[in-house]
Amino acid sequence: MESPRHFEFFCPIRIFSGSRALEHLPGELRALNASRPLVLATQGAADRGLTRILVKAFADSGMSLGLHEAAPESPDAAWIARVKRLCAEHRHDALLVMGDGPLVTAAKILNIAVSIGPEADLAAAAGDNRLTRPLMPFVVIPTGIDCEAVASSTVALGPWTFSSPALMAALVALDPRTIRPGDAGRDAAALSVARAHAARVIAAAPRNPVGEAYARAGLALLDRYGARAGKGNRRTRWALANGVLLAGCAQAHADPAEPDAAEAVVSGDPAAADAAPPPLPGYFEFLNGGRIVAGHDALGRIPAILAQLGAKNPLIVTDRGVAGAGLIDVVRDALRDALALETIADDVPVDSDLKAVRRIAELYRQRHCDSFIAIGGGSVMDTAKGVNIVVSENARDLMAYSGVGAIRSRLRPLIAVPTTSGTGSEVTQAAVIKDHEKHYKMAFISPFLLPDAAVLDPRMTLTLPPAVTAQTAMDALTHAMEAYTCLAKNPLSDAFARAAVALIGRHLLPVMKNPADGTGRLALAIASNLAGVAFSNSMVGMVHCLGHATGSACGVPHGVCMAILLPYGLEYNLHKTGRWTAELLLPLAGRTVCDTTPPEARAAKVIALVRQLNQDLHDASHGQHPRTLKEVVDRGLNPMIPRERLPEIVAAARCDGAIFYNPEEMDADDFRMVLEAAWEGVALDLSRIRTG
Amino acid sequence: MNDYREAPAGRKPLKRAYVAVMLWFVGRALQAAARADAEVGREFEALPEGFTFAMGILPAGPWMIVGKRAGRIRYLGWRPEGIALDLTLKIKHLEAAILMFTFQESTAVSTARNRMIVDGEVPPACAIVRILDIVEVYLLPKFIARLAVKRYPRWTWTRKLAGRTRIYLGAVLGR
Repeated sequence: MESPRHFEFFCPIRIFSGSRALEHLPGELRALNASRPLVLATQGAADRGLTRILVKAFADSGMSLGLHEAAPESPDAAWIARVKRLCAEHRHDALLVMGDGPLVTAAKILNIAVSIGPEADLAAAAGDNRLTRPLMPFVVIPTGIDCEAVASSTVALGPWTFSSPALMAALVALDPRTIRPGDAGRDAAALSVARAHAARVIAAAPRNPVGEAYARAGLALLDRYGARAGKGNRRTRWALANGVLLAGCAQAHADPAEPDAAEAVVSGDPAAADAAPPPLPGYFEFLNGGRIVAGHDALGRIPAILAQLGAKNPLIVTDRGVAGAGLIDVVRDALRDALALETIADDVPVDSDLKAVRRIAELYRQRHCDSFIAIGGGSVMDTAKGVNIVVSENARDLMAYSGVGAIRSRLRPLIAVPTTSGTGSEVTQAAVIKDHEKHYKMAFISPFLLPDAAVLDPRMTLTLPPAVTAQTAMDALTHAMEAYTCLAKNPLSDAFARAAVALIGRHLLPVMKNPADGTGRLALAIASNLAGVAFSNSMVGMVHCLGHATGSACGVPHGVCMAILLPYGLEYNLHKTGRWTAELLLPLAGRTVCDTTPPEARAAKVIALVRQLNQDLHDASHGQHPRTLKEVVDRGLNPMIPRERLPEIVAAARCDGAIFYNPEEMDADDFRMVLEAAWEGVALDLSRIRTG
Repeated sequence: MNDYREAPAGRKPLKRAYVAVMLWFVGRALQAAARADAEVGREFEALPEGFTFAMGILPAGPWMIVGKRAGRIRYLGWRPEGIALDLTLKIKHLEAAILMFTFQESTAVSTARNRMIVDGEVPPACAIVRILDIVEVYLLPKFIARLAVKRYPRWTWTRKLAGRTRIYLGAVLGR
């Protein structure tokens, strides 16, 4: 399979899918500062009782809904003008659209009309990316299988065409209760079109791994549930609507192949045929909110992205290690005359720190900056996010914005340029800032913390030493494998995880042998990004729990802990998640190994291959990559994890939230058992793992 | 425009009442379990004096507030107003609470499905989740408790019987 070269992808739609998805809407609207939603529904939807279901879902929310239940099937400009007056008259501040196709398109234009005022301005907003004012929160609640229009960022009205990412639905609530059977012929056509769209994205050259992940997830759902489309129940229709939506996201934002090229995918592409048949969880959420830009000259896209975001004077946030390695100069050279990097804060500490946040915020204000470019690893990203909260919210007390959902409006533009291929923090919705004086950590979680763009350029990782390459890639592999096997897995994050595993399985060892392999470096950066998207939606489990504890107790680098503990996590959960682990054999080792391994032995094979990978990395790094906890040494070659410190790690692990998402329970005895095995480097005795 | 109407948010009084009773009972069971079960006692002992946590439903309750006062665990009622909370477990909406309290979704699955928000420091949240799991095992028959926890513990029948009796009595009598 061809390695990815250059691609971009941007589809910031939040998906709420599954049982009671509608009940999540009041809280989400509140988080977007909206409290007066207007529901647009067709008479047909109202007749089928769908608006009644929606109203009931808002019970106890304190919000009243404005209901316009007579939207025409194909609304026109007159309807838009009428509903616009309605919005103004009743002071609505969000649009909830129950329907699909033409109604969704018309509602998007209505949203533009409401947000920018008089009709004369509508012409001014036509064209590419000319929407300068924020639109109202826009929620689509599909009422049938055909929901591809949701993902489109282009709509047309008469002579005008509007094109902007802002036109994608902010939220899509796919609730099985509202996805009703439609006209059989129309549904069959929608499925056929969606399948073709997904296949064309999968077959595209050059590849777009992110679009491909959406397409593969969509195609797997369409293949699995499509045969029952005609006589399917509520859950089948819901699954198919998910498939159509994901195919729509892929098609709308990734360049497709010619239809002829896609034939192979539909008629027997091995990867498509073997894509995990996804049994759907009862409910899942998904957001891949930032623009992803990857390629050998991805850095060169930064000025254009900043311009699109309305910014021109960015503050560079980085650390001394990155600056010392000459990476700022690499960025400067790549940008040439297009953008001057005038203000640089290169003193981010190894651990993100409240004082550093305040200091850098002051610099931002002094220099009248209007955006951020964060160049570095997790600490740099977190610090930039923290500074962004301070300057955007004009915050005196950063603590007031900690926790979940405390940030309620867009922050200043932030572009993330990762310099390692592991953390995935360029695509996460979280930041952790430490107050070293008061000895506590503040966690900030909000979709607004997602960087506007993640720029993945292999020049930023070319100089990584072999041991760091190994540990960061194993960190990414752990993100992907835990996302795939832990409790919050879902079909879309699964597709991201599988793609990440495949890229790491194929490129990690070649990059270790040839560190200047730019193609391999780019593949690892993309893998890290894909794994980051997967785990920021599906979370991680016991490997991270024990890894965080080992890191905090003994100061061991995070990636090292991940590499050593990953096979133990897969082994410990084997009785519950063996099926998922087995499915990772194909992306990790390829078709030949998968085909020659009996299905019942595939999970064990995956675990053995991860151990073998650690051994190969140990050999390729001349022993710098440790295989066991007892092999971890500091720069003076002193053991960092003496056996007597394992109880300390156990105590810390009991205080780590990652365990919430682990499929199997773990108490102190379980932690101890796993740590002792990982310290010695022996496989877990499966008979000692307690089940119940 | 005659095709427009306002639909005020309704109420679900029966479901709210059910969840309120469950929270009330679990709150009092926590108070009883702190004395009846050594493991729960140890977990609470590790929390600082004055520690207070709440579990409830967004946006307007009902809530269950439990705190450590003078070394003992107390159920502090269902009104969080005016109480400084160290930790809040917020269930996002009433239907999510119903799924959880009718054991259609375990606490872990509810968290994984992003139906619950943990607001506060993570270490005490881990302790509280462990405590809630133990209390659920005491309060519920095995076939239901297995739906609520990841792994049903292998306790001696004496621990289960004695603990269950003391916790049920304590919860009913409020001791």
